[in-house]
Order: sequence, then structure tokens, then C-alpha cells
Amino acid sequence: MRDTNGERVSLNDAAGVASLVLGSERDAMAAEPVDHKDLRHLANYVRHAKDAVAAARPEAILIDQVPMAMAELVAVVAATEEATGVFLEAAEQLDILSEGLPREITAKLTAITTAIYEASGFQDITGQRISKVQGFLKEIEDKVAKMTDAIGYQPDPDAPPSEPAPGAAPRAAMGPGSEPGDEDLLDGPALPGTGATQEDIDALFD
Amino acid sequence: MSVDKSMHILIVDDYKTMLRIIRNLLKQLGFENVDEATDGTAALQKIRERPYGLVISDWNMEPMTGIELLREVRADEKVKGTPFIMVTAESKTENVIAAKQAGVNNYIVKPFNAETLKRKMNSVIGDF
Repeated sequence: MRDTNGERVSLNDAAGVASLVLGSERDAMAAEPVDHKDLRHLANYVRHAKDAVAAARPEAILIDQVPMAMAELVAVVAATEEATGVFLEAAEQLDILSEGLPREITAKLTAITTAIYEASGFQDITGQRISKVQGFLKEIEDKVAKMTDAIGYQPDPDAPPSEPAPGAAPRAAMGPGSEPGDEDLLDGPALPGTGATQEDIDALFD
Repeated sequence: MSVDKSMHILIVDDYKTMLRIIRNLLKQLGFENVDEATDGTAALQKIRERPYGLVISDWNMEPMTGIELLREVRADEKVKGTPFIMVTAESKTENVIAAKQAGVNNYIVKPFNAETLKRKMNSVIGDF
């Protein structure tokens, strides 16, 4: 196997070899059952491992959950950046308005705008922290992809939809045709470009 | 020695918001001649084009980082004396030591306040 595949031997290949050995030498195994115990353990171990990976639904992590988490983080950065821009614009306007006012009032207004400028620095720090988290998510995505590749995992097309991640859209867990309950309706803020706009909602009331 | 508040200051950061914040804080401190760059390469070009009384730079930028900019400045005979303050979220001791070894005049950790900026500027360019 190593001659063909090199150092990288998948669990599938190992399981195949174990089954082959067990199958082709069944008679011999009856004569020497102790010698084949380890192979049987190995085959069972591989089967359990594959079942455990399949139960974790790694394709949901790769196709749905990690990309969704990334998109949410991008939306957080964009929203905080936009809000910070508004704070700064307001503070700058205050600075301009304070010019020409009595010195005492100008000093007070400057103290206020200074506090706004200082606090606005949060956007830089949170942006850098979020970049770090995005890097971790990418790492998780890569590792899950490598793991599923190593064991030759193929998603079962007939499997029921995966459970949603904590805080993710509960709708994902609903079966086709089922009526949403109140909790199923909760999805948190929509990503930019998704969900209904205020105009869409207004149209429903016209 | 009094500080000439008409001096040109260059601020370098890849976050436009941070450039805006520092510019506003400098304005409140009385420094109106402020230029901006969003990475080390653009900053180096500006520094070689005109003299700056102070450079205030972030560390983590691409393609040229703040410490690479600092090393380039210190290696350039014409501009090597430019006062240089690093303003960064990188707060590990190793970073500060590396910046000191590269010739930084002072170091501010984000988030910072106006008082810290003024204090560090005073220690580098003098009281104002």
C-alpha cells in the first residue's frame, strides 16, 4: 500500500486491507484466532471512526457553518466601521462648531470630542481581533477538509439536515414542509443583501 | 526649546479610521500639517520627498510593515534622524525590544488616549 500511496495511507485503505486479510484467511483465522484479533479490532476501530465522522456531518461545517461564520464576522467589521465613521463625523462637526465659541465652552466641547475620538479606536482593535478569529476559522476549515479527505468520507445524500450551530439559523434544522415554530423564526440580524428591507416590510402593510 | 506646531507630521496606518482618529487628536493638540499613508512603502516615499518633524506609524501593515519602514528610515542617511513613534496593538515585550533595536523613539500601545499621545510626543519632540 505504501508503495502505491507513499507515506499517506487513508483509514479507508487500512480498513480495506484489514477486511481483505480477515476475509481471505478466515479458515486460517479459525485455526489461529488470537493472531487475527488485532486486525478485527482495527477494522472495528476504523468503522467506528468513520461512523463518528459521518455523525458530525463535516460537510455542514465546510459548506454551511464556517462560511456563514466568516460572513457574519465580515458584516460585524463593516457595521462597526460604518458606525464609527458616523461618530467621527459628528465629533468633527462639533469641533468645527466649537471654533469661535467662548474659550470655556470650546474646552468643554473639545474634551467631549476627544473622548469620542479615543473611544472610536475600538474599531481598529476589534477589527484585528476579528481577523484573528477568521484565521482560526480558516484553519478549522482546512483541518476538517484534510480529515474528511484522509478517511475518504463521502456525505450521505439521504441523511437528514444537520442541527444548526448555536446561534445559527434554526430554520436549517426544519424538515421540508414542516411549519416553523416561534423559535424557528428567530435568525438574528440578516447579512447585508439578505432578508427583507424596511421597504419590503412596508409593502406588506400597504 | 519650543516645538514648532507648523511642523509636518506623517501618520501611517492601514485602518483609515485610525488615521482619522490620530489626525483629529493631533489637530486638537495644535498640529494641523498632517499627511497620511496607508502602508510603509507609501510612507517611505513621502518621507524621502519632504522632511517630517515626526512620523507616527502602525506596525502591522502590508506590503511594508511599520518596523520595516523604521529600518528603512534609519538606514537612509538623508532621513535617518526623523523622530519616529510606533502606535500599535502589538504589545509583546519582544515587539517593543525589536522596535527599540530598530531605532524607534517611543512606543504607544493601542488602544491609547490623547494624554498618552501627548506625553509620548513631548518625550520625542519636546514640550508643547
